[in-house]
Amino acid sequence: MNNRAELRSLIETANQTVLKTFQDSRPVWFDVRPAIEALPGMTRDTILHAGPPIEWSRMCEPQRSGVICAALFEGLADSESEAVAKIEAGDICLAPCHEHGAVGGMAGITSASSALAMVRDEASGAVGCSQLYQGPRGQLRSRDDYDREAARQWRWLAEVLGPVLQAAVRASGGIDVKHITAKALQMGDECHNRNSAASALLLMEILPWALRARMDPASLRDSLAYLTGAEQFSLCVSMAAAKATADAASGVPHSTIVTTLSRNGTDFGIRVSGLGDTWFTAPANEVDGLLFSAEWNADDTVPDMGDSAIMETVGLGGHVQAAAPVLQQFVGGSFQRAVQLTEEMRQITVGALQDYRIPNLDFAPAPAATDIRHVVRTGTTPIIDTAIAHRKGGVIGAGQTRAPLDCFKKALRAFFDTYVPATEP
Amino acid sequence: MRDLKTQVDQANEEALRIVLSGRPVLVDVRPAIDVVPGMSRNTILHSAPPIEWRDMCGPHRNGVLGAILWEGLADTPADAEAMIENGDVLIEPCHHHDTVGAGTGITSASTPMLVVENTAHGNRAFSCLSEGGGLELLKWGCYDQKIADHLSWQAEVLGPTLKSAIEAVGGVDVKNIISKAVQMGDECHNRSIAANSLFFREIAVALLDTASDRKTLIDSVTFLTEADQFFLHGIMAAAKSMLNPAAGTEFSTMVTAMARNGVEFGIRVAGLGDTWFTAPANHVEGLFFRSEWGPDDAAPDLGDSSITETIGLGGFIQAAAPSVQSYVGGSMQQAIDNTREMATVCIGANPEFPIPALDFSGAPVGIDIRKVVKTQTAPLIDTAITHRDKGLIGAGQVRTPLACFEQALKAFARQYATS
Amino acid sequence: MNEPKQALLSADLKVINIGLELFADSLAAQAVDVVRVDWKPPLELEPELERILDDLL
Repeated sequence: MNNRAELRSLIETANQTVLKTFQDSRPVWFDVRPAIEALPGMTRDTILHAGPPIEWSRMCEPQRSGVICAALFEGLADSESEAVAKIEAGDICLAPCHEHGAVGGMAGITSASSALAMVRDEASGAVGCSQLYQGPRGQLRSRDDYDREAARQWRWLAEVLGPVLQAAVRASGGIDVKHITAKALQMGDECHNRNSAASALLLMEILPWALRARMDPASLRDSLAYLTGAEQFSLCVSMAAAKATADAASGVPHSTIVTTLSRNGTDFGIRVSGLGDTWFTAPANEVDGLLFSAEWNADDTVPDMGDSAIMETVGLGGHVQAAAPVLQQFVGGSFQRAVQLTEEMRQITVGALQDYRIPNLDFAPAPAATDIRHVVRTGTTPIIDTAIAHRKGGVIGAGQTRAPLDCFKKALRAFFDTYVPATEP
Repeated sequence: MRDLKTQVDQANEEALRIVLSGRPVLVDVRPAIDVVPGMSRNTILHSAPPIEWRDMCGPHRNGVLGAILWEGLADTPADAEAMIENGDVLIEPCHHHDTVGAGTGITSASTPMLVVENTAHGNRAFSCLSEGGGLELLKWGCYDQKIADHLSWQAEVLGPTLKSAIEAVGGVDVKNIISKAVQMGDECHNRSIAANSLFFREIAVALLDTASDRKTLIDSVTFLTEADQFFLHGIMAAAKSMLNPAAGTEFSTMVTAMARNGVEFGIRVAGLGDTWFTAPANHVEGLFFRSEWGPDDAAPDLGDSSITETIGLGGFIQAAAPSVQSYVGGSMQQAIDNTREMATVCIGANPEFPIPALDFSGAPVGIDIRKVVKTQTAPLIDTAITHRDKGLIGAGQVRTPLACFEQALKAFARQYATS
Repeated sequence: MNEPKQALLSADLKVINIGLELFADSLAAQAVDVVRVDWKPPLELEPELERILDDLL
């Protein structure tokens, strides 16, 4: 049992290292660039998607239609049937955002020309990227709604908003994302399903620089009009920041801390710091929440989807539920329930983030660094705030879900197999 | 007596209905002389209640002198003082001109004013533009060339720029901003950062569209994005515009104004017309921003900003803004207890300002002088702490004196019990 | 503003990461449109996982 005690000690040390990486992370938004320039390993014929890897045949409908739209948009195919044929032949490569230093909300479809927010963790040097938030008219992932307007919107993000933000962010010398996140937590955001405060703060940080950058006036006005209406805009920046943090925390031998929580609408996948790039998956859960219209029902929804659970991975979103009691309205909850959920997350995390405080809990720090051992032992999985997608694309609701326990069980078994020699009993 | 009780209850319901039905919209920014009723070139307004020049606190005296110099009515402080003593300058409370002023509330003819129209009742109320952050502002009784230049920039550049933007968007719905801000950690008195960001978001595109030139645009945007508490003055004018139509409601014991001049605390009551009921202002407990400052340096409670509590914001909804507890070393539980305590002196709740941490129960609103006296519960006010000479030195909270409520209740009895 | 809860929600409806214009008309129906999908807490842990945890935790 000495070996076991030694292993436990190694795990504790490794987990503290990972926790410290989370705590010390200093994400700064420093650039906006097209995916082909920003992402390692990106190619013209690669299309990235949210969640763990998945074969074309098992992809949920919103991701399939999003991939086809992207293929057409990038000129990789001239028709839907040609796109499908090229995908099936492997001429168009599909890969998870997460494996290319990126994260993507909802379907997460990201192709070569997608404009990406780039955030660097100044403490570790790690960079995370996220596609820019897709505005109200962005229905690219909805097969039925797909039309020229969607392509126009996609092009607009790449050709108008992207360059404006690029100029502003470069002129600013970098926007301190940690500072904005900390302030937003005092303003009712949990930084996943609610981003009203962070988006407003970000706008106020960026605009003076955008004005000084002498942009084309029409592009500037268009971008400003968009940003003043986009209450979720900051999420893409927050996600890129979280990705940088999580990647910095990856690959620490012996650590049982989760460094990826992600979903593709079919599977939920996690990665664990001490287990490298291996994904551990289980069927994604449905999302408990509110649909925005009576025209939809549970049959219209896809299971949990998107890389946005990177927020919970680093201790925000569902973990700081108590900071955003407004969101309880999506799930018929209460302030007390929100408080309980945050306290529950403390049971499966190994520490807390001193820079991210929850005013409603007397400024208690956010619980962070989810330990697969605690998850399996308690049966409590991370709670995830998230949107609800329609099977044919588009967001139709919002609410909460849980990560499936099976991912954590598989990871724990793999951890045992990796770190406990087979010869031992 | 039973009939009178019923009459009072009904009058209070009516007074509160008038307040809650208000729809304050920020419609304009104009110099005080153009819009404030009864304003003249040689009038200086200050935070209420009324007070004689010789009795004024330091920040008020210094602020009045500063405003006289800024307006060019006098060249030196000594000349300014002589003018006051000769009666060549009129000194009156903001509240007597449908105006509210934070801190010293110093408002003069050229001061750029936020014009808030209560579109449900057709009345207007006013508050000066915030000078932004900083410990040394005219708002806190400070005056020097730098402050004068900034005031002039606000009057000549920022005011007209805001006016154009506000007109371009067809007015800004202040109630909607307050409602959202209360969901975002503002109690809208000591903290209005969310309201400020929401206001900025509403006018940002219009600023770009209407600003006269590039420098004006950059300077104005830079100021507005850095002035965290800028919109407090808009909220105050909105509160005043909502409360004014309820003033004069016969038989009502609802408070329609609470204000402090650094010497006295005063209230007005709906059923008692324009009469101020006053008592010595209390000292504010809280956090001093520098270690060299302490309670001995502070002026008593000062400013019209307690109009926010009068409308059920600020100290009445601390549960919505736990961050503000950091000034007083409080806790979330204390904030919740304080909000619940304020509900015991109020006529009703405001469903348009729901408090998330109280599962969206409405903010307590409509202070009933009967309940204050009966429970001996003094309303709680979040507020700044001003140095007794001049300057902002801290922030915290303070209770109103009870004596002014007791006087008002006696006056109410004299007026109505025998009728 | 007449229905503050709706006003709140309408702000939150933009929550979302992609997509759809939100339909003001549909907001009125929201209160009855709650879709609940229960997740169930796990039951007993398999002995193998218990053993692993005893070693690692």
